Order: sequence, then structure tokens, then C-alpha cells
Amino acid sequence: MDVEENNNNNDNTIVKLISREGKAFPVPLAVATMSELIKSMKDDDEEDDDEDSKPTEVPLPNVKSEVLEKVIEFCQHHLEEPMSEIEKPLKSQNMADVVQKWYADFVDLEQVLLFELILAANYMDIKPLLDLTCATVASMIKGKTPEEIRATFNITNDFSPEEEAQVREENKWCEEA
Amino acid sequence: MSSLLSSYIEDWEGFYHYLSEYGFHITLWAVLSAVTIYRREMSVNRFYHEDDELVQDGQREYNNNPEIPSSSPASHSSACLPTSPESRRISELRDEEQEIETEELLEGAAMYSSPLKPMLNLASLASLWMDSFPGDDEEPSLKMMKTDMTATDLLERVGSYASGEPIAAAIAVFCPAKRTKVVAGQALPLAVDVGLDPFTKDLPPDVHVHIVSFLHPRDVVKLPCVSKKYRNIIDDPDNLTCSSVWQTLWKRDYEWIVKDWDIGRLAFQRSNVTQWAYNKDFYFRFGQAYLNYVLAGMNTHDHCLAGIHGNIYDLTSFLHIHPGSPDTLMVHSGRDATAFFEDMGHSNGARRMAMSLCVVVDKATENDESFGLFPTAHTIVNDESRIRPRLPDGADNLLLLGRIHSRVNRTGTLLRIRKEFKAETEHVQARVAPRFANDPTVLGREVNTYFDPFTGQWRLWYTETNTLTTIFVPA
Repeated sequence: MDVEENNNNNDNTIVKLISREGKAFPVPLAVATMSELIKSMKDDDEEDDDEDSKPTEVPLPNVKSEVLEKVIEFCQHHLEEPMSEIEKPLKSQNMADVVQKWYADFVDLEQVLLFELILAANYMDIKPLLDLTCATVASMIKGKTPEEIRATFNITNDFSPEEEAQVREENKWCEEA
Repeated sequence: MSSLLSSYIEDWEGFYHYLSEYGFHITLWAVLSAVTIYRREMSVNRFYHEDDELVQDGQREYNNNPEIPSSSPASHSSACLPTSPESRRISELRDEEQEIETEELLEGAAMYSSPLKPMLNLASLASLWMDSFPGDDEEPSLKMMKTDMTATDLLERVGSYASGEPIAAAIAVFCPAKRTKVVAGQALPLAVDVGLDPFTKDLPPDVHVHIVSFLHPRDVVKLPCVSKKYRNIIDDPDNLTCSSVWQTLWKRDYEWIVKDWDIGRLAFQRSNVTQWAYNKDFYFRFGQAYLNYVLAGMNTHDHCLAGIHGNIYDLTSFLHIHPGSPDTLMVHSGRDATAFFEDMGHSNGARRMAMSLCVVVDKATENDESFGLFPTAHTIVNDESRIRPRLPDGADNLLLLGRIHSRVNRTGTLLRIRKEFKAETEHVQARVAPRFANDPTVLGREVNTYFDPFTGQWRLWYTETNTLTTIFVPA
């Protein structure tokens, strides 16, 4: 009940998200509260002071500007077209098969940015974004051999040949009865 | 004169005879040669022109969109911007190319013996060489991808033709085709930037678990083979991340059956545990054991359930309708009855009828992309808001019983676990069977064994002859 009233009152409220670099991103409250972190901060604020006149500033010292921009892009789109839930285990290696096209295109990113996005989603507590980004990483693992996984993530094989033979034997998958 | 004529006639007859005997062969030979020549010509033409057209198409489209529309607020790293439409185009190119490639290989049989073959390869080599000069207006990375592709193509082509096995060529391309497709979809953007390890300390363990939660167990068991650190995350029982990985997977795939399903809850209460260790062995042993564990003792008039092909069927309402006697059903229920069901040779009609009795579907037997147990529309669960029936009556269900008649085990698990489990089952059965073989209170002198995955112990149950109640005994 309380929350509903707040939403009605603050339909046009603007929240300023401050990135690590100090850049301010003014966004509507509905977009900002996709983040559970900001939502809880806002809720605390509401109790403290009642001056709604000037926009609230939310410092996000862990999030870079370019990442924050992507996060906001995601949240804005999510309000228009909510992301369908990603089925587990993934049915396909192709993100376009498990989620709407816009979201599949959204995570078609460099790994560096993708990982920063995961961190931001985790820190800001935005579940759909965390689902989407983690599923993307999982889709890079799905259906690959250990060698291909190493190649994808640039990992060096630190097993001795004997160790590797042993760990492979232990984890041999059985398809047929 | 007459003899000459007759010899003529004989000749004609001989000719007709020849025709009638070999005419079919001659026609077939002629038609096949014509088709071979025609297809060879076509493929030669395509060899020279199609690739170029594709590249030009790609270029044209690329040139039409020189910049990403600035309306998109995503002006992140500059290197990343052009990659998405471009890489999409490339993957389209690749897909088309793959189709062409397959056709070419089918024609490979015809081409192999042809004197044109070396020329073709030379021509491809030449075009590859030409391609390797960077065009002025072309994006270098696009060029690079293109050249890479051609080089791989060519190598495969040359190699397989040279081996003298056009069939091997077909296999060589058909088999990796699936994998190449994956790479085309996912790894293309990765090829440009440096691969980053998602399982480092940079990402919190929660995130690691979350990533794994999207994976099929078949993919999860590939991870320990990657490196020592990965093995530590997935396989080390002392690692907290490891236990939460397997806890998450178990909850995803199996938890509802012992928490939300009345029948499963009875079994869980019998285990009488509050805590157990989550690890890889627990997860896979649960998959092996759940059928006999959950169904133990479920052969009464109140609850009569049986497992067939990994799925569970509730036969309680069916007991008195079943053409065989209710007793037959009850003797074989309360456990995996696949062998019995198949030995009786049930008709397709009977199989279809059984569909409406299916209460638990083992997705692992259905296809490789899914895993875990799912309730059907007929499952009665305690909290319906949490469990949504995934399989309505109909096509999906029909596959379950009609398809593979002889399979008893689940399709996917760890080979090691399956072997261990099978050996243990046989061992326990052999050990306890003599104990009950001469006991008149045991119905059918037969005792059932099951593994309790929560306590890690083997247990027994049998039906008492006089009261027809179920007796549980420690093994």
C-alpha cells in the first residue's frame, strides 16, 4: 500500500545516478528503482526527510560511466518490454533463442564490458540484468569441450597429463544406458 | 539369300536381346553421366562466382550503415560499436556459406574423379591469395574473418579430396558443422577481444554459482577438466562455492519432488534427516536413486505408483481398470517397472492411456537440452503456486512411453556414478536376497532394495503376506 502511494506521487521524480567518474545520469524514479540497492536507499530516504523538491543523488562509486549507461539502457527497455524469464538449463547456445531479440543484441558485447555489467548488476542488485549477463556467460560454456572453454576464456591448462586424464575419466558423461 | 536374311534377323534378334538385357543399364548410365556433368558445371560456376557475390552483398549492406545510429545511448567502447551488426552479417555469411559447402560436398563425389579438381583447388588458392590483399574500403576485420573462413574451407576441401575419400569429406564437414555454428554465433566477438576468465576472484562466488545455474549438468562436469581452479570450484567438497553450486543445481532439478509432492515428502520423512552434504556425488546419485527411493512401499490400494522409463505413473485410480489383475500391478509397482512393462508388450493404445497417469516426467530421458524432474498436469503438489505443470496432456507426453522401448536407465549421468551404483545395487541385492528367500511372511519371497540419497544408506522393503502392509528394514 505504502509503495503504491509513493509510486503515484513520484511518477515524474528524477533521480540522479552518479558514476565513479562523478558523471550524473538523471533518470526517472521507476528506472532507478529497478535496482534493489537504490530502492532500499530511497525507502530509507523517504522515512528521513520529506523534501521532494530537489532530485535525489545516488552515488554509485563502483560503477563506471560507460557501464552505468548500459545499465540504464537496460532498465529503460525493461520497463517497456519486460524480459522473459530465461529457462534453466539453457536450451541453446544462442541467446536469441532463449530471450527476446533486444536483450540478445544488448549482451552482444566485449567480454570486458560484459563482466563489468555483471559486477554492476550484482552490486546494484538488478536481478533480470544479472540473469541475462550470467546466462550469456553460461551460453559461452554450453556445449563446449574443456579445450574450447580454455580458448574462450583464455585459461591456461595447469594439469599434468596424468592429472588431466584422471579428472576427465572421473567426469566422463554417459549418454546411453 | 534366306540364310543371309536369317543371319540378319538373328543379328537383329541379338541386338534386341542385347537391348532388352542391358538397355536399362545403358539408359541409367547415360542419365547419370548427364546429371554428373550438369551438376559439375553448376558447382564450378558457383565456385567462381557465389563467394564473390556474398562478399559484395556483405559490403554493400555494411556500407549502407556506415555508423550505428546515434539514437542508441550505448556509446560505450568504440571498438565494440561496429562489431554487432557486422558480426551478425558475418555469421549470416557463414551460415549461407555452410549450406553451400554442404551441397558442394555432396557433389564432391562427382568432382573427385574429375580432372577439373586440381584446377578448382588452384583457383581457390588463387582467389584466397587475391583476397588476402586488404581492400581500401573494406573493414579489415571483416576481411580477416572472410579469409580465415576460406582458408579453413580450402584446407578441408583439399585434404579430403586428396585423401581419396569424398565420403570422409562429407563426414568431416557434417560433424564439425554443429560446432562451427556455435562459434559463429558466440565466439566471433570474442575473437577480437581478449578472453576473460569468469571464474576469477574479480567476480563474487554468488555470480559463479549463478552462471553455473544456467548450465546442463553435462556442461557442468566439463568445467573441472578446464584447470585446477575450476576443479576446485566444481569438485572440491571443502569448497563452499562447490557445495552451493550443487545445492543450486539440485534445487533446480529435483527439490520439488521431496518438498512439494505428497508422495516424495513421505519418502523424505522416512529418511528423517535435516542436513546433508551437497556435492557432485549426491547430485548424480540422487538422479540414479530417486525412482526407487521415492516409490518405496507405494504398492498399496491407496497409493500405487510405478516408474517406467524414468517417469513416474500413478496407477491408483487405474488398479481396477487394468486388464491384468490388480495384484499383478501391485506386485510390480513401488519401484522401477520398466522391464516388466516392456516384457508385457503393451500396445500403443495402452501407452497412450498411460500418459494420463504420468505424474512425474524425467526431462533427462526426453532430450539433451533439458534436465531434471517435472510435474505434469496430473501431479498433485502441495503448493501449486511454486510448481507449474510443464507438460499438458498431448504430444510431448506421447514421446515418453512410445519411443524407446528397451531403455531402463536415465539418459544422462556420470559414467562413474552409474557404474558404482549398478555394482552396489547388484551387491546389496545378492547379499540380502537369501535372507528373505524362505521367509513365508514376505510376499513373493521378494525384497526390494533402494538407496537413500540423503542418508547415503541402502534400505529394504517388502510387503507382508497376511496384512499386505509395507515393512521397511535396514540393509
